[in-house]
Amino acid sequence: MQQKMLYSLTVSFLKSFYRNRVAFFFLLIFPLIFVGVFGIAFQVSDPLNSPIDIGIVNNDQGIPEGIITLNPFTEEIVSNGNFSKDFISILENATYPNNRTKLFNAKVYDLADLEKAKSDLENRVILALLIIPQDFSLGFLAAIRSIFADDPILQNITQNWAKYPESTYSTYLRIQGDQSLQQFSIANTALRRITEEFFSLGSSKIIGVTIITDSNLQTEGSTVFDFIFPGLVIFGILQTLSAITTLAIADVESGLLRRIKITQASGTTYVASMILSQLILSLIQLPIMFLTGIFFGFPANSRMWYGLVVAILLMFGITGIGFILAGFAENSDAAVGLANIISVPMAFLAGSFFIVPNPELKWTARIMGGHSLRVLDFLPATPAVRLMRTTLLGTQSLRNSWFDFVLLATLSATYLVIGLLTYSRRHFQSK
Amino acid sequence: MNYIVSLDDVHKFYSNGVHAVKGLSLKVEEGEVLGLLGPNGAGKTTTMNLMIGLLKPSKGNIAIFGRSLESRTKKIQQRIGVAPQEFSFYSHLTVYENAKLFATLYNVRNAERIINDLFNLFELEEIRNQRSDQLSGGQKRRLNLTLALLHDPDLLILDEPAAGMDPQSRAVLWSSVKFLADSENKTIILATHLMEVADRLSDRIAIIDHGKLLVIDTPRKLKSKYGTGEIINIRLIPDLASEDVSLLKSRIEKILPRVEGSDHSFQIHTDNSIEDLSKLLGLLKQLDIRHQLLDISVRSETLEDVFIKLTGRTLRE
Repeated sequence: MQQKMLYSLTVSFLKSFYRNRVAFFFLLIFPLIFVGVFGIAFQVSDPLNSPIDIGIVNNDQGIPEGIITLNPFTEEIVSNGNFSKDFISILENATYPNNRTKLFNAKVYDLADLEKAKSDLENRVILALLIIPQDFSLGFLAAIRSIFADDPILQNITQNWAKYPESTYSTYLRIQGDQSLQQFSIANTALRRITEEFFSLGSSKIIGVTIITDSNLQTEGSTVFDFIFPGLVIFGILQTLSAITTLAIADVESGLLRRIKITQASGTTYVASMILSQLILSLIQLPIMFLTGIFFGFPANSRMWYGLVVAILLMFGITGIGFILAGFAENSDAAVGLANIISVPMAFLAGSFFIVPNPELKWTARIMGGHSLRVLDFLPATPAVRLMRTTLLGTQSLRNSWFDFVLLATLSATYLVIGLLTYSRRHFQSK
Repeated sequence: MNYIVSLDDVHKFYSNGVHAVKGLSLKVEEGEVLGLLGPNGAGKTTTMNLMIGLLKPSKGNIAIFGRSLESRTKKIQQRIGVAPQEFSFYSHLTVYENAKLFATLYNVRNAERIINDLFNLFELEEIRNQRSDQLSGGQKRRLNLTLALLHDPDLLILDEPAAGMDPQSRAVLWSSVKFLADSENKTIILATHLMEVADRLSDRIAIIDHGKLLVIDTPRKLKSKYGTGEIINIRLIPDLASEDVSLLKSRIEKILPRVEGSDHSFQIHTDNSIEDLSKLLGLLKQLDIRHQLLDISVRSETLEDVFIKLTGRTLRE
């Protein structure tokens, strides 16, 4: 019975929210505008549709000795040929779709300069590194043999092959870079597409090559937006404080809670429906914020799932603070005022936009097994910003972030419990 | 006797020191309509919140349906319907969505049929898909009342149910209340400013002021007990000098001592309007002030006159 009531109340809250254009704007659209503004203002990376600096290390040994074949690009019979040269030429001349702008500024390194190429990649002199293997041409031969198997001219030629690769032969082409860079994502996608087109020879099959992308390389020099974006996500969650406080006080103010209290719905059901509706709204808001961030250049990565967990944990803490405020506020105007007085400074103090001094409380290390707390760590947004930043930027492993994770969970649970007690004591108990 | 509501020496102190209800004792019988009258701040809403169990009495006992409200509050509340003074529904939901939500919260079976019946009773059928914040004041009041009746309560508590209503909506509301009382045998407690409606609908009227019950009785008995019968109204033309008005008032007081009012309008309380009117007309003829008179009328004393006499205030003060 209570589950049905929980469902009905939650749906009603969500419908009311959806139909309240002001609330809808502030909760969903406002943070997106904020992300957009910061995304544009702090986008220091190269604009889209400009050539991306890539490096190429060519290890290709060419066609094995004694093999004569047809070069499908020049339509010449060749021996001792090297197909990687054709491949590199295609890369150098590749352009953006429907655009004359070249895709790449390709820098070809000598074989001996592999370490130099990697160093350039780490220092962002180049944004992607393509390593062409020794057997690149051999893999291409496998593609020719398989795709032109029925071609009489090629059959004639291949009869002279002393040995040739089987059609299942595959060479391994490597693309290296930093997945947190948008340009690497573009370069990686383009390199894969061009390689696949090269090895398919106009057919629908891709034969002779396996592409391996190594995108876990950490490079120096994140953009300003990369740094700010995790804080903006936290700022977006903090914006819900005003909404949850208003939601919790509005029914009191309108006398609706008085009516609900004498129904069969328990206080727990009523409060749970408010929390659930906020959770659902957050689950809608957060992916939109992440996508907006990616649109404005924040590197997409699988760690965003952990970011989502961090944001939801914080949402529970903020909901708790919202209930605390609703336990004190006399009306919705006061509730919104109080919420803004708390949420905006909290966003700044937590370091959402820039690092603020946060003195260490050394005595806490003695009672917390070496992990000390800082003055601002009692705000749930502080560990949330730290976690979101280290998680999304990958600057610290998840294993090393456990203390902040536990701290955030503890703070959120504490604020939620205090909030529920304050709210129910003020508005649910008969006095 | 089965009392649906029984208050016994109930007091309510708020934390700010206000003594809102002072030793209130009253009993309401099954099927009775009790009009609760009192000026603003008299303690009506506090009294109703005490009856619903939303407030705890500081002293005294409250029993609803023969059971102490302190025990099994939720069970008792399930049999009470409340239409608060405020519009207590979700303004961004439609009329139907609000009804459906509260039917679920009251755990009502056959919700669709009951909603349809109530929509027909309160003439909400045509606007069932309209958003509640787009309704007129009268429609909102009717929705407020509909939500109080979804779970077929035995006791209905209506706090100023006609506030802000247009005459048409008020007529629908009052006929519906009368139907609920007469045909459905609901016990109704009705707080209202509208004295004539309380007079017409209530079996008994309780007048409270400053948290105290001043009187409780049937409208007829209240009027016969506290009303002296009739009132002769005299209105004078506005141009008449105030010295002349005072002189006239003093001359009238010599023959009819119970004169009230000032400026250019007097009310003379009388137990025998025919005899006193004849005396008054004789005096006016003698003074020859025909042209200074606007009108003279006689009316029976109303419940409002009783109320003013008991509280010293009008209902709207």
